[in-house]
Amino acid sequence: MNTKIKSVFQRVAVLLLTVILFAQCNKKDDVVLATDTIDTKLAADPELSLFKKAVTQAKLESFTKGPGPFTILAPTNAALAAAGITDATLATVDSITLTAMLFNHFQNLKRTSFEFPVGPNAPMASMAGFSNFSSKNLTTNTTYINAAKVLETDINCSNGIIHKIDKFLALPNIPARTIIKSNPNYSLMDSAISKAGITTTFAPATGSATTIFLISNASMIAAGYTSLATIGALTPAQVTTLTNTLRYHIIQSRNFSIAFKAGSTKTLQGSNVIITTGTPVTVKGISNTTASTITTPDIIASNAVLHEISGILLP
Amino acid sequence: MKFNIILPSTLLLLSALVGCEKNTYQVTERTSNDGSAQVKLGFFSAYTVNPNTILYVNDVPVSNTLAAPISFPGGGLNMNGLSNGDYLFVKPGTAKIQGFRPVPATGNIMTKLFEFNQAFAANINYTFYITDTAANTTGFALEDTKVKPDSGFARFKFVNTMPNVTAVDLYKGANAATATLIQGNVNYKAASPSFDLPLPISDSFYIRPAGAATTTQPIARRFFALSNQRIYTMLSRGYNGSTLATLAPNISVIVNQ
Repeated sequence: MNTKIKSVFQRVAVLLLTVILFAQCNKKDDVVLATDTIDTKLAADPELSLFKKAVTQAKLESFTKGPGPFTILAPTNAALAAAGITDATLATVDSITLTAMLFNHFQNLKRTSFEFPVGPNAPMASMAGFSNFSSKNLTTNTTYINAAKVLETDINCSNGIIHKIDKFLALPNIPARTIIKSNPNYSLMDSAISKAGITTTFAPATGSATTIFLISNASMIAAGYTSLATIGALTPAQVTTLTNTLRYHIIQSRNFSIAFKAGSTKTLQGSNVIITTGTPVTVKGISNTTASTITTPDIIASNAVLHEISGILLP
Repeated sequence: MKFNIILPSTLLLLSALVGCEKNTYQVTERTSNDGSAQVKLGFFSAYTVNPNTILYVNDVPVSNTLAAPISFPGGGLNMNGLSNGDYLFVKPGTAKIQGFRPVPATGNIMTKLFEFNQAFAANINYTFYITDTAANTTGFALEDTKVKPDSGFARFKFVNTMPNVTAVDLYKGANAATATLIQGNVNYKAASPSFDLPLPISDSFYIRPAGAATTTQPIARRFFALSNQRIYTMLSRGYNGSTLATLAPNISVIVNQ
Protein backbone atom coordinates (compact mmCIF):
# COMPACT_ATOMS: atom_id res chain seq x y z
CA MET A 1 0.00 0.00 0.00
CA ASN A 2 2.81 2.35 1.02
CA THR A 3 4.67 1.59 -2.19
CA LYS A 4 1.58 2.43 -4.23
CA ILE A 5 1.10 5.79 -2.48
CA LYS A 6 4.80 6.56 -2.94
CA SER A 7 4.54 5.75 -6.62
CA VAL A 8 1.54 8.04 -7.09
CA PHE A 9 3.34 10.87 -5.32
CA GLN A 10 6.38 10.35 -7.50
CA ARG A 11 4.25 10.50 -10.65
CA VAL A 12 2.49 13.66 -9.47
CA ALA A 13 5.82 15.26 -8.59
CA VAL A 14 7.25 14.48 -12.02
CA LEU A 15 4.11 15.80 -13.70
CA LEU A 16 4.26 19.04 -11.72
CA LEU A 17 7.92 19.49 -12.53
CA THR A 18 7.19 19.05 -16.22
CA VAL A 19 4.34 21.54 -16.10
CA ILE A 20 6.59 24.07 -14.37
CA LEU A 21 9.29 23.61 -16.99
CA PHE A 22 6.84 24.16 -19.82
CA ALA A 23 5.38 27.20 -18.10
CA GLN A 24 8.83 28.79 -17.88
CA CYS A 25 9.44 28.46 -21.57
CA ASN A 26 9.12 31.46 -23.85
CA LYS A 27 6.02 30.60 -25.82
CA LYS A 28 5.42 31.65 -29.38
CA ASP A 29 2.42 33.92 -29.88
CA ASP A 30 -0.52 32.64 -31.82
CA VAL A 31 -0.50 35.84 -33.87
CA VAL A 32 0.50 35.17 -37.45
CA LEU A 33 3.15 37.73 -38.32
CA ALA A 34 3.33 39.30 -41.76
CA THR A 35 6.41 38.04 -43.54
CA ASP A 36 6.24 40.07 -46.74
CA THR A 37 7.88 43.49 -46.80
CA ILE A 38 6.12 46.61 -48.01
CA ASP A 39 8.10 46.25 -51.20
CA THR A 40 6.86 42.70 -51.80
CA LYS A 41 3.26 43.66 -51.09
CA LEU A 42 3.43 46.65 -53.43
CA ALA A 43 4.93 44.51 -56.15
CA ALA A 44 2.25 41.87 -55.75
CA ASP A 45 -0.70 44.27 -56.01
CA PRO A 46 -1.66 45.12 -59.62
CA GLU A 47 -3.64 48.16 -58.40
CA LEU A 48 -0.41 49.61 -56.99
CA SER A 49 1.93 48.79 -59.84
CA LEU A 50 2.54 52.40 -60.83
CA PHE A 51 3.21 53.46 -57.25
CA LYS A 52 5.69 50.57 -56.95
CA LYS A 53 7.35 51.66 -60.17
CA ALA A 54 7.66 55.20 -58.80
CA VAL A 55 9.18 53.87 -55.55
CA THR A 56 11.77 51.97 -57.55
CA GLN A 57 12.50 54.99 -59.76
CA ALA A 58 12.99 57.20 -56.68
CA LYS A 59 15.35 54.58 -55.21
CA LEU A 60 13.25 54.28 -52.10
CA GLU A 61 13.53 50.52 -51.89
CA SER A 62 15.94 50.80 -48.97
CA PHE A 63 12.88 52.05 -47.10
CA THR A 64 10.23 49.70 -48.49
CA LYS A 65 12.58 46.73 -48.02
CA GLY A 66 14.20 48.11 -44.83
CA PRO A 67 13.34 47.47 -41.22
CA GLY A 68 10.81 50.31 -40.88
CA PRO A 69 8.25 50.44 -39.56
CA PHE A 70 6.53 52.73 -42.06
CA THR A 71 2.98 53.56 -43.01
CA ILE A 72 2.40 53.87 -46.73
CA LEU A 73 -0.60 55.72 -48.10
CA ALA A 74 -0.48 54.15 -51.53
CA PRO A 75 -2.45 55.81 -54.32
CA THR A 76 -3.89 53.32 -56.75
CA ASN A 77 -3.04 53.39 -60.44
CA ALA A 78 -6.37 55.14 -61.08
CA ALA A 79 -5.56 57.77 -58.45
CA LEU A 80 -2.17 58.46 -60.02
CA ALA A 81 -3.68 58.61 -63.49
CA ALA A 82 -6.22 61.18 -62.27
CA ALA A 83 -3.29 63.29 -61.09
CA GLY A 84 -1.67 63.00 -64.49
CA ILE A 85 0.90 60.43 -63.40
CA THR A 86 1.21 57.62 -65.88
CA ASP A 87 3.98 55.34 -67.06
CA ALA A 88 4.89 57.95 -69.67
CA THR A 89 4.86 61.00 -67.38
CA LEU A 90 6.62 59.13 -64.59
CA ALA A 91 9.58 58.58 -66.85
CA THR A 92 10.02 62.35 -67.17
CA VAL A 93 10.23 63.01 -63.43
CA ASP A 94 13.71 63.01 -61.90
CA SER A 95 14.29 60.72 -58.95
CA ILE A 96 15.04 63.57 -56.52
CA THR A 97 11.71 65.29 -57.17
CA LEU A 98 9.97 61.95 -57.07
CA THR A 99 11.44 61.27 -53.63
CA ALA A 100 9.68 64.28 -52.13
CA MET A 101 6.43 63.47 -53.94
CA LEU A 102 6.47 59.89 -52.68
CA PHE A 103 7.73 60.68 -49.18
CA ASN A 104 4.53 62.70 -48.77
CA HIS A 105 2.83 59.27 -48.79
CA PHE A 106 5.21 57.74 -46.19
CA GLN A 107 4.90 58.03 -42.44
CA ASN A 108 7.79 57.15 -40.15
CA LEU A 109 5.75 54.81 -37.94
CA LYS A 110 3.22 52.01 -38.25
CA ARG A 111 -0.29 53.46 -38.10
CA THR A 112 -3.25 51.09 -38.36
CA SER A 113 -6.59 52.34 -39.68
CA PHE A 114 -7.79 52.44 -36.08
CA GLU A 115 -5.00 54.89 -35.32
CA PHE A 116 -5.94 57.44 -37.98
CA PRO A 117 -7.07 60.43 -35.95
CA VAL A 118 -10.79 61.25 -36.15
CA GLY A 119 -10.13 64.87 -36.95
CA PRO A 120 -11.51 66.67 -38.84
CA ASN A 121 -8.21 67.68 -40.36
CA ALA A 122 -5.97 66.12 -37.75
CA PRO A 123 -2.38 66.61 -38.95
CA MET A 124 -0.14 63.60 -39.56
CA ALA A 125 3.51 64.20 -40.38
CA SER A 126 4.78 62.73 -43.62
CA MET A 127 8.38 61.81 -44.28
CA ALA A 128 8.54 64.66 -46.77
CA GLY A 129 8.27 67.06 -43.85
CA PHE A 130 4.73 68.21 -44.54
CA SER A 131 1.44 67.39 -42.83
CA ASN A 132 -1.45 65.47 -44.32
CA PHE A 133 -4.79 65.70 -42.61
CA SER A 134 -6.99 62.87 -41.37
CA SER A 135 -10.78 63.10 -41.15
CA LYS A 136 -12.95 60.15 -40.18
CA ASN A 137 -16.63 59.78 -40.93
CA LEU A 138 -17.68 57.56 -38.05
CA THR A 139 -21.15 56.99 -39.52
CA THR A 140 -19.87 55.46 -42.72
CA ASN A 141 -16.60 54.28 -41.14
CA THR A 142 -14.69 56.05 -43.89
CA THR A 143 -11.33 57.72 -43.48
CA TYR A 144 -10.06 60.56 -45.64
CA ILE A 145 -6.49 61.79 -45.88
CA ASN A 146 -6.76 65.35 -47.17
CA ALA A 147 -9.40 64.72 -49.86
CA ALA A 148 -8.32 61.15 -50.56
CA LYS A 149 -10.59 58.33 -49.48
CA VAL A 150 -8.90 55.34 -47.88
CA LEU A 151 -10.06 52.47 -50.08
CA GLU A 152 -8.43 49.50 -48.40
CA THR A 153 -6.90 49.50 -44.95
CA ASP A 154 -4.37 47.58 -42.91
CA ILE A 155 -2.38 45.61 -45.47
CA ASN A 156 0.10 44.31 -42.92
CA CYS A 157 3.74 43.93 -43.86
CA SER A 158 6.78 42.81 -41.93
CA ASN A 159 8.12 46.36 -41.94
CA GLY A 160 4.94 48.41 -41.75
CA ILE A 161 1.50 48.78 -43.14
CA ILE A 162 -0.12 49.89 -46.39
CA HIS A 163 -3.43 51.70 -46.87
CA LYS A 164 -4.71 52.22 -50.40
CA ILE A 165 -6.05 55.67 -51.22
CA ASP A 166 -8.02 57.02 -54.17
CA LYS A 167 -6.11 60.27 -54.70
CA PHE A 168 -2.50 61.33 -55.06
CA LEU A 169 -1.41 63.50 -52.11
CA ALA A 170 0.05 66.54 -53.83
CA LEU A 171 2.86 68.38 -52.08
CA PRO A 172 1.67 71.63 -50.54
CA ASN A 173 4.61 73.56 -51.91
CA ILE A 174 3.01 76.46 -53.81
CA PRO A 175 1.38 79.45 -52.08
CA ALA A 176 -2.26 80.23 -52.87
CA ARG A 177 -1.42 83.59 -54.42
CA THR A 178 1.05 81.93 -56.81
CA ILE A 179 -1.61 79.43 -57.87
CA ILE A 180 -4.01 82.29 -58.59
CA LYS A 181 -1.41 84.37 -60.43
CA SER A 182 -0.10 81.51 -62.53
CA ASN A 183 -3.47 80.35 -63.87
CA PRO A 184 -4.80 82.56 -66.69
CA ASN A 185 -8.34 81.48 -65.80
CA TYR A 186 -8.02 83.49 -62.56
CA SER A 187 -6.41 86.60 -64.09
CA LEU A 188 -9.43 88.80 -63.34
CA MET A 189 -9.60 87.57 -59.75
CA ASP A 190 -5.88 88.21 -59.42
CA SER A 191 -6.31 91.73 -60.80
CA ALA A 192 -9.22 92.31 -58.43
CA ILE A 193 -7.12 91.23 -55.43
CA SER A 194 -4.44 93.72 -56.43
CA LYS A 195 -6.97 96.50 -57.05
CA ALA A 196 -8.58 95.87 -53.66
CA GLY A 197 -5.15 96.06 -52.03
CA ILE A 198 -5.63 92.79 -50.19
CA THR A 199 -2.76 90.74 -51.57
CA THR A 200 -1.59 89.89 -48.05
CA THR A 201 -5.09 88.64 -47.20
CA PHE A 202 -4.67 86.07 -49.96
CA ALA A 203 -1.20 85.20 -48.72
CA PRO A 204 -1.69 83.71 -45.27
CA ALA A 205 1.29 82.22 -43.48
CA THR A 206 2.63 78.85 -44.64
CA GLY A 207 0.64 76.05 -43.07
CA SER A 208 -2.36 78.27 -42.34
CA ALA A 209 -5.76 76.67 -42.00
CA THR A 210 -7.49 78.66 -44.73
CA THR A 211 -9.99 77.87 -47.47
CA ILE A 212 -10.25 80.05 -50.56
CA PHE A 213 -12.99 79.87 -53.20
CA LEU A 214 -11.53 80.63 -56.62
CA ILE A 215 -13.50 82.77 -59.03
CA SER A 216 -12.99 81.96 -62.69
CA ASN A 217 -12.77 84.69 -65.31
CA ALA A 218 -16.20 83.65 -66.61
CA SER A 219 -17.74 84.23 -63.19
CA MET A 220 -15.96 87.56 -62.78
CA ILE A 221 -17.25 88.70 -66.18
CA ALA A 222 -20.78 87.58 -65.32
CA ALA A 223 -20.55 89.71 -62.17
CA GLY A 224 -19.59 92.79 -64.19
CA TYR A 225 -15.82 92.69 -63.75
CA THR A 226 -15.43 92.23 -67.47
CA SER A 227 -11.77 93.08 -68.01
CA LEU A 228 -8.56 94.21 -66.39
CA ALA A 229 -9.40 97.73 -67.59
CA THR A 230 -12.85 97.62 -65.98
CA ILE A 231 -11.35 96.52 -62.69
CA GLY A 232 -8.66 99.18 -62.96
CA ALA A 233 -11.30 101.88 -63.42
CA LEU A 234 -13.43 101.03 -60.39
CA THR A 235 -14.46 103.91 -58.15
CA PRO A 236 -13.48 103.90 -54.46
CA ALA A 237 -17.01 102.81 -53.51
CA GLN A 238 -16.88 100.00 -56.05
CA VAL A 239 -13.47 98.95 -54.73
CA THR A 240 -14.97 98.70 -51.24
CA THR A 241 -17.68 96.42 -52.62
CA LEU A 242 -15.08 94.38 -54.46
CA THR A 243 -12.94 94.07 -51.31
CA ASN A 244 -15.93 92.79 -49.34
CA THR A 245 -16.77 90.34 -52.11
CA LEU A 246 -13.24 88.95 -52.28
CA ARG A 247 -12.97 88.62 -48.50
CA TYR A 248 -16.29 86.76 -48.67
CA HIS A 249 -14.43 84.01 -50.56
CA ILE A 250 -12.12 83.17 -47.65
CA ILE A 251 -12.94 80.86 -44.76
CA GLN A 252 -10.49 80.81 -41.89
CA SER A 253 -10.41 77.07 -41.48
CA ARG A 254 -9.10 74.16 -43.56
CA ASN A 255 -11.92 72.56 -45.55
CA PHE A 256 -11.33 69.75 -47.99
CA SER A 257 -14.37 69.08 -50.16
CA ILE A 258 -15.15 65.90 -48.29
CA ALA A 259 -15.04 67.59 -44.91
CA PHE A 260 -17.34 70.58 -45.43
CA LYS A 261 -20.14 70.74 -42.91
CA ALA A 262 -23.59 71.56 -44.26
CA GLY A 263 -25.01 74.86 -43.08
CA SER A 264 -23.73 78.34 -42.40
CA THR A 265 -20.00 79.02 -42.32
CA LYS A 266 -18.50 82.37 -41.40
CA THR A 267 -16.22 84.01 -43.92
CA LEU A 268 -13.36 86.45 -43.43
CA GLN A 269 -15.73 89.24 -44.57
CA GLY A 270 -17.84 88.51 -41.48
CA SER A 271 -21.03 87.18 -43.10
CA ASN A 272 -21.89 83.55 -43.57
CA VAL A 273 -22.06 81.44 -46.70
CA ILE A 274 -24.39 78.44 -46.94
CA ILE A 275 -22.75 75.12 -47.67
CA THR A 276 -24.60 72.04 -48.88
CA THR A 277 -22.69 68.79 -48.87
CA GLY A 278 -23.02 65.98 -51.36
CA THR A 279 -21.84 65.63 -54.92
CA PRO A 280 -21.05 68.28 -55.84
CA VAL A 281 -20.65 70.47 -52.79
CA THR A 282 -22.41 73.81 -53.25
CA VAL A 283 -21.85 77.19 -51.67
CA LYS A 284 -24.22 80.14 -51.71
CA GLY A 285 -23.77 83.76 -50.69
CA ILE A 286 -26.44 85.73 -48.85
CA SER A 287 -27.26 87.81 -51.93
CA ASN A 288 -26.97 85.00 -54.45
CA THR A 289 -30.17 83.64 -55.94
CA THR A 290 -28.57 80.31 -56.78
CA ALA A 291 -25.78 78.33 -55.24
CA SER A 292 -22.43 77.81 -56.92
CA THR A 293 -21.01 74.34 -57.24
CA ILE A 294 -17.43 73.43 -56.53
CA THR A 295 -16.13 72.62 -59.99
CA THR A 296 -12.46 72.00 -59.19
CA PRO A 297 -12.05 70.88 -55.59
CA ASP A 298 -9.08 70.51 -53.28
CA ILE A 299 -6.23 72.42 -54.90
CA ILE A 300 -3.62 72.18 -52.17
CA ALA A 301 -1.45 75.21 -51.56
CA SER A 302 1.24 75.68 -48.94
CA ASN A 303 -1.03 78.05 -47.05
CA ALA A 304 -4.61 77.14 -48.02
CA VAL A 305 -6.99 74.71 -49.67
CA LEU A 306 -8.54 76.18 -52.81
CA HIS A 307 -11.76 75.24 -54.58
CA GLU A 308 -12.86 76.72 -57.88
CA ILE A 309 -16.58 77.49 -57.84
CA SER A 310 -19.02 78.02 -60.67
CA GLY A 311 -20.05 81.56 -59.71
CA ILE A 312 -19.17 84.51 -57.50
CA LEU A 313 -20.34 84.73 -53.90
CA LEU A 314 -22.23 87.90 -53.05
CA PRO A 315 -22.35 88.95 -49.39
CA MET B 1 9.37 0.07 -10.55
CA LYS B 2 11.58 3.06 -9.79
CA PHE B 3 13.39 2.58 -13.10
CA ASN B 4 10.03 2.55 -14.88
CA ILE B 5 9.21 6.01 -13.57
CA ILE B 6 12.60 7.68 -13.79
CA LEU B 7 13.44 6.80 -17.40
CA PRO B 8 10.25 8.07 -19.08
CA SER B 9 10.24 11.08 -16.78
CA THR B 10 13.79 11.96 -17.75
CA LEU B 11 12.99 11.57 -21.43
CA LEU B 12 9.93 13.76 -21.00
CA LEU B 13 11.95 16.43 -19.24
CA LEU B 14 14.64 16.36 -21.88
CA SER B 15 12.11 16.68 -24.69
CA ALA B 16 10.50 19.56 -22.84
CA LEU B 17 13.79 21.34 -22.45
CA VAL B 18 14.86 20.76 -26.04
CA GLY B 19 11.47 21.54 -27.57
CA CYS B 20 11.06 24.92 -25.97
CA GLU B 21 12.47 28.15 -27.32
CA LYS B 22 14.29 29.71 -24.41
CA ASN B 23 14.43 33.40 -23.62
CA THR B 24 17.41 34.95 -25.32
CA TYR B 25 19.15 38.31 -25.31
CA GLN B 26 19.36 40.15 -28.60
CA VAL B 27 22.42 42.23 -29.40
CA THR B 28 22.13 44.68 -32.27
CA GLU B 29 24.70 43.92 -34.95
CA ARG B 30 26.48 47.11 -35.92
CA THR B 31 29.58 45.69 -37.51
CA SER B 32 29.91 45.38 -41.24
CA ASN B 33 31.12 42.03 -42.44
CA ASP B 34 31.01 42.86 -46.12
CA GLY B 35 33.93 45.25 -46.37
CA SER B 36 31.76 48.37 -46.34
CA ALA B 37 32.76 51.68 -44.87
CA GLN B 38 30.49 52.74 -42.02
CA VAL B 39 29.44 56.36 -42.20
CA LYS B 40 27.45 58.72 -40.04
CA LEU B 41 26.31 62.01 -41.55
CA GLY B 42 26.69 64.82 -39.04
CA PHE B 43 24.40 67.58 -40.31
CA PHE B 44 25.27 70.68 -38.29
CA SER B 45 24.50 73.52 -40.73
CA ALA B 46 22.83 76.10 -38.51
CA TYR B 47 20.17 78.10 -40.38
CA THR B 48 17.89 80.69 -38.82
CA VAL B 49 14.99 78.45 -39.85
CA ASN B 50 16.41 74.97 -40.09
CA PRO B 51 15.32 73.41 -43.36
CA ASN B 52 13.90 69.91 -43.47
CA THR B 53 16.47 68.06 -45.51
CA ILE B 54 16.59 64.62 -47.12
CA LEU B 55 20.10 63.15 -47.09
CA TYR B 56 21.39 61.19 -50.08
CA VAL B 57 24.41 58.92 -50.45
CA ASN B 58 25.38 57.95 -53.99
CA ASP B 59 22.08 59.29 -55.38
CA VAL B 60 20.00 57.14 -53.05
CA PRO B 61 17.88 58.77 -50.33
CA VAL B 62 18.97 57.45 -46.95
CA SER B 63 16.83 59.56 -44.63
CA ASN B 64 13.43 61.09 -44.37
CA THR B 65 13.36 64.85 -43.86
CA LEU B 66 15.69 65.80 -41.03
CA ALA B 67 16.53 69.10 -39.42
CA ALA B 68 19.98 70.03 -38.14
CA PRO B 69 21.56 69.54 -35.70
CA ILE B 70 21.58 65.80 -36.12
CA SER B 71 23.90 62.91 -36.78
CA PHE B 72 22.27 60.32 -38.99
CA PRO B 73 21.72 57.54 -38.34
CA GLY B 74 21.79 57.27 -34.59
CA GLY B 75 21.43 60.83 -33.38
CA GLY B 76 23.20 61.89 -30.21
CA LEU B 77 22.90 64.12 -27.17
CA ASN B 78 21.75 67.74 -27.40
CA MET B 79 20.73 67.26 -31.02
CA ASN B 80 17.75 65.88 -32.94
CA GLY B 81 17.16 62.18 -33.42
CA LEU B 82 17.81 59.21 -31.18
CA SER B 83 21.05 58.46 -29.32
CA ASN B 84 22.65 55.25 -30.48
CA GLY B 85 25.74 54.21 -32.39
CA ASP B 86 24.26 53.34 -35.77
CA TYR B 87 26.15 53.88 -39.03
CA LEU B 88 25.26 53.63 -42.69
CA PHE B 89 27.05 50.96 -44.67
CA VAL B 90 28.63 52.67 -47.66
CA LYS B 91 30.49 51.09 -50.55
CA PRO B 92 34.21 51.91 -50.20
CA GLY B 93 35.56 54.47 -52.63
CA THR B 94 34.31 57.94 -53.42
CA ALA B 95 30.77 58.56 -52.24
CA LYS B 96 28.50 61.42 -53.29
CA ILE B 97 26.78 63.01 -50.31
CA GLN B 98 23.90 65.38 -50.96
CA GLY B 99 21.15 67.16 -49.10
CA PHE B 100 17.89 68.20 -50.71
CA ARG B 101 15.21 70.33 -49.17
CA PRO B 102 11.54 70.00 -50.09
CA VAL B 103 10.62 73.69 -50.25
CA PRO B 104 7.18 74.56 -48.96
CA ALA B 105 6.68 78.04 -50.34
CA THR B 106 7.99 77.99 -53.89
CA GLY B 107 7.25 76.17 -57.06
CA ASN B 108 10.40 74.07 -56.67
CA ILE B 109 9.78 70.69 -55.19
CA MET B 110 13.36 69.99 -54.13
CA THR B 111 16.26 72.38 -53.68
CA LYS B 112 19.81 71.13 -53.34
CA LEU B 113 21.45 72.36 -50.14
CA PHE B 114 24.84 70.72 -50.58
CA GLU B 115 26.80 68.13 -52.48
CA PHE B 116 30.18 66.64 -51.59
CA ASN B 117 32.35 63.83 -52.84
CA GLN B 118 34.25 62.01 -50.14
CA ALA B 119 36.49 58.94 -50.18
CA PHE B 120 35.78 56.24 -47.61
CA ALA B 121 37.91 53.15 -46.96
CA ALA B 122 36.54 49.70 -46.22
CA ASN B 123 35.97 48.56 -42.65
CA ILE B 124 36.54 52.01 -41.17
CA ASN B 125 33.99 54.07 -39.25
CA TYR B 126 33.62 57.71 -40.25
CA THR B 127 31.50 60.70 -39.41
CA PHE B 128 31.03 63.07 -42.32
CA TYR B 129 30.39 66.54 -40.88
CA ILE B 130 28.34 69.15 -42.76
CA THR B 131 28.57 72.63 -41.32
CA ASP B 132 28.13 76.31 -42.17
CA THR B 133 25.36 77.41 -44.52
CA ALA B 134 24.34 78.34 -48.04
CA ALA B 135 27.33 78.84 -50.36
CA ASN B 136 29.69 78.41 -47.40
CA THR B 137 28.41 74.94 -46.56
CA THR B 138 31.38 72.67 -46.07
CA GLY B 139 31.85 68.96 -45.45
CA PHE B 140 34.69 66.92 -44.01
CA ALA B 141 35.16 63.34 -42.88
CA LEU B 142 36.88 62.21 -39.70
CA GLU B 143 37.58 58.65 -38.67
CA ASP B 144 35.86 57.26 -35.57
CA THR B 145 37.65 54.75 -33.39
CA LYS B 146 36.06 51.37 -32.78
CA VAL B 147 38.30 50.49 -29.83
CA LYS B 148 36.38 50.81 -26.61
CA PRO B 149 38.05 52.04 -23.40
CA ASP B 150 38.60 50.07 -20.20
CA SER B 151 35.73 49.73 -17.80
CA GLY B 152 35.31 52.88 -15.73
CA PHE B 153 36.10 55.17 -18.65
CA ALA B 154 34.40 56.72 -21.68
CA ARG B 155 36.40 57.52 -24.81
CA PHE B 156 36.13 60.85 -26.61
CA LYS B 157 37.39 63.02 -29.35
CA PHE B 158 36.43 66.66 -29.71
CA VAL B 159 35.53 68.18 -33.08
CA ASN B 160 35.13 71.88 -33.82
CA THR B 161 32.37 72.55 -36.37
CA MET B 162 31.89 76.20 -35.40
CA PRO B 163 32.68 78.16 -38.57
CA ASN B 164 33.49 81.53 -37.04
CA VAL B 165 36.04 80.39 -34.46
CA THR B 166 39.50 79.44 -35.66
CA ALA B 167 40.15 77.09 -32.76
CA VAL B 168 38.57 76.32 -29.40
CA ASP B 169 39.52 74.91 -26.00
CA LEU B 170 37.34 72.35 -24.23
CA TYR B 171 36.89 72.47 -20.46
CA LYS B 172 35.08 70.25 -17.95
CA GLY B 173 33.94 71.10 -14.45
CA ALA B 174 31.20 72.13 -12.10
CA ASN B 175 31.47 75.79 -13.06
CA ALA B 176 33.19 77.80 -15.74
CA ALA B 177 35.70 79.48 -13.46
CA THR B 178 37.08 76.28 -11.98
CA ALA B 179 36.65 73.97 -14.99
CA THR B 180 39.79 72.21 -16.15
CA LEU B 181 41.14 72.20 -19.67
CA ILE B 182 40.47 68.86 -21.38
CA GLN B 183 41.60 69.62 -24.92
CA GLY B 184 43.18 72.77 -26.28
CA ASN B 185 43.43 74.54 -29.60
CA VAL B 186 41.11 72.34 -31.68
CA ASN B 187 40.92 73.93 -35.10
CA TYR B 188 37.76 74.41 -37.15
CA LYS B 189 37.01 71.22 -39.12
CA ALA B 190 39.54 69.27 -37.05
CA ALA B 191 39.47 66.79 -34.19
CA SER B 192 41.44 66.52 -30.98
CA PRO B 193 43.37 63.33 -30.26
CA SER B 194 41.30 60.59 -28.64
CA PHE B 195 41.09 60.90 -24.85
CA ASP B 196 39.47 58.95 -22.02
CA LEU B 197 37.57 60.40 -19.09
CA PRO B 198 36.95 58.46 -15.90
CA LEU B 199 33.43 57.82 -14.77
CA PRO B 200 31.23 59.13 -13.33
CA ILE B 201 30.83 61.75 -16.05
CA SER B 202 27.95 63.92 -14.94
CA ASP B 203 29.45 67.25 -15.54
CA SER B 204 29.33 70.47 -17.49
CA PHE B 205 31.53 71.05 -20.51
CA TYR B 206 32.58 74.47 -21.77
CA ILE B 207 34.26 75.86 -24.85
CA ARG B 208 36.29 79.03 -25.17
CA PRO B 209 38.27 80.48 -28.05
CA ALA B 210 41.69 78.84 -28.05
CA GLY B 211 43.96 80.45 -25.52
CA ALA B 212 41.25 82.51 -23.82
CA ALA B 213 41.70 82.95 -20.10
CA THR B 214 39.57 80.83 -17.75
CA THR B 215 38.21 84.07 -16.36
CA THR B 216 36.47 84.83 -19.65
CA GLN B 217 32.91 83.86 -20.40
CA PRO B 218 32.72 80.54 -22.28
CA ILE B 219 31.27 80.51 -25.80
CA ALA B 220 28.96 77.64 -24.81
CA ARG B 221 28.23 75.38 -21.86
CA ARG B 222 26.39 72.05 -21.71
CA PHE B 223 25.80 69.39 -19.07
CA PHE B 224 26.11 65.72 -20.04
CA ALA B 225 25.72 62.48 -18.10
CA LEU B 226 27.67 59.85 -20.03
CA SER B 227 28.06 56.07 -19.76
CA ASN B 228 30.74 53.52 -19.12
CA GLN B 229 32.92 52.19 -21.99
CA ARG B 230 31.11 54.19 -24.63
CA ILE B 231 32.81 55.99 -27.48
CA TYR B 232 31.66 59.55 -28.03
CA THR B 233 32.43 62.52 -30.25
CA MET B 234 31.88 65.82 -28.51
CA LEU B 235 31.55 68.80 -30.83
CA SER B 236 31.11 72.54 -30.90
CA ARG B 237 28.46 73.80 -33.31
CA GLY B 238 26.50 76.97 -34.19
CA TYR B 239 28.05 80.40 -34.49
CA ASN B 240 30.04 82.17 -31.81
CA GLY B 241 28.16 85.27 -30.68
CA SER B 242 24.75 84.43 -32.07
CA THR B 243 21.81 84.67 -29.70
CA LEU B 244 19.22 83.03 -31.96
CA ALA B 245 18.29 79.60 -30.64
CA THR B 246 18.96 77.90 -33.99
CA LEU B 247 22.31 79.63 -34.53
CA ALA B 248 23.62 79.94 -31.00
CA PRO B 249 26.92 78.24 -30.12
CA ASN B 250 26.36 74.91 -28.49
CA ILE B 251 27.97 71.61 -27.52
CA SER B 252 26.62 68.22 -28.62
CA VAL B 253 27.68 64.62 -28.36
CA ILE B 254 27.55 61.95 -31.05
CA VAL B 255 27.33 58.37 -29.81
CA ASN B 256 29.85 56.38 -31.85
CA GLN B 257 29.61 53.10 -30.03
